[in-house]
Amino acid sequence: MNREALLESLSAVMDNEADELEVRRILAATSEDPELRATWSRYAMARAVIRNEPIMPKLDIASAVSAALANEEAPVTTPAASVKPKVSRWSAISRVAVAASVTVAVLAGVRLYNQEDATQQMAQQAPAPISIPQVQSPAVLANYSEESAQSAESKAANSAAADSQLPGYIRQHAQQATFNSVEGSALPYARGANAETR
Amino acid sequence: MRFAPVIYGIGGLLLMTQSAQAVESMDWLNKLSISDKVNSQGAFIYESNGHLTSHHIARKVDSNGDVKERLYRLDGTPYEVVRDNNRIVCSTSADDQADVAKTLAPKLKPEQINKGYTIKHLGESRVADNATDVVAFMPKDPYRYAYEMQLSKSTGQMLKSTTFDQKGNALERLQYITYSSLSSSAEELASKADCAPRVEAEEISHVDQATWRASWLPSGFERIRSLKSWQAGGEGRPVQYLLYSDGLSNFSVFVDSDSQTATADSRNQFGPTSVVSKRINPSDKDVLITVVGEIPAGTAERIALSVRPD
Repeated sequence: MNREALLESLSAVMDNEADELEVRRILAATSEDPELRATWSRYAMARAVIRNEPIMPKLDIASAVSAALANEEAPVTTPAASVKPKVSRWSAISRVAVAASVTVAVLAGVRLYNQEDATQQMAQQAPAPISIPQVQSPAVLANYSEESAQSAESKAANSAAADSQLPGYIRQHAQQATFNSVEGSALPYARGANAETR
Repeated sequence: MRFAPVIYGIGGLLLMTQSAQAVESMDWLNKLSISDKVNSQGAFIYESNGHLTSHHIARKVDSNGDVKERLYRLDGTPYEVVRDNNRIVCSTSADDQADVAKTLAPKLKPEQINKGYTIKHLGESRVADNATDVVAFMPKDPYRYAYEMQLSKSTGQMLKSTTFDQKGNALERLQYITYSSLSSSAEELASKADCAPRVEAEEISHVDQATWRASWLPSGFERIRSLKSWQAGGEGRPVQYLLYSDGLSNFSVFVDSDSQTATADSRNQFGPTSVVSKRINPSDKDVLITVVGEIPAGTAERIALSVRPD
């Protein structure tokens, strides 16, 4: 197999589009080709920078993926699958993206250490002109302090885009609940106003 | 996390003073339940999910008890809701889909809150230059959130409210910055031109398909509304709509009994609002059940799994 085809397969692996055969081929090739292995690491880093993901420069992805594959008969049930169920579910739709989920498993540990960064990014996306005091306020941090809440946040855009019904449901719920609480508080109204701009 | 010891501490105290407290909790509930029968004017801020917005409220109660109320957002995209007694006159909506209903669902009796929450007076404070009582609503089970409210001593109006999850994290806050019980002018109560009148959906009695219900509910939650709804995707297929409340928290159940979308099950959280979708196949058609509400995601999930044909 020529180098160009190998690099193409490598891209496919990274883009979550490789089949199992391709993954094995890449792993076999990288095990005897240090240059290809370095290329993979470079790709991973470039990708992480572009996507603003955590970077782990010393991580040898190829051997980590090999090890993970050897230890795990069914990669779909790797820790990655439980941490990020969306990733595995969506990728499983077309082709078996074994390496991708294993790579995620390898990187999952890294991700946990980067929660602060993620929080910062999300806070910056908020339209508030002064984001720093908000980030430091306990109320905002509370929203992200739970791991589950955080992954839900990051998944939100994904599934909301896939299901156009959800925003409508959220809006209808908010409007129906307006004025509906016993105490006649403005709380349900305020939630509705929030849902309207979401 | 730092609220957790406070909450557990309160829980302990409550056990010791249960009998005296039963009387006291009804006092607070009665005070709350009449608070929307007094004139109200003011501005409040609401913080949820990292967003802070400000709002204006004008509520006028005339001599025969008729209530007119207008709530209006002061920043960002204009948003307003106007009500006349139990009828929603108009509301701003991002799209022109028919709303589920323009009449308000019947309110639960204040005693209903007692089923799900333990109510405790925590002390006194001041909000928007008004003396307040600080009252905690502690959930009796892990299926709902806790609320800490500050009620105006003179009118009972809720002037500050914080919602906490089971770990004691604050999920949302609402706080008045100005408040008075003066009467509002007609101008303050009038809607703006872009406030669209509501188009009402059909009541469930007109629906000739199987109706659905949640077969599991945390205690204190009751179904207060059941309607045939619009189709969310704009295809004209009816979606059944159910609204449940425990007096403080509400959740909605949407049952799309012939779902055409290829959406997988999903679970999202926006501040205090959990959104859980589950797909089931009781017959040859896909049924998509979506629960939306101010309840923990685990509760929403359990409710979604319990939805069955009636």
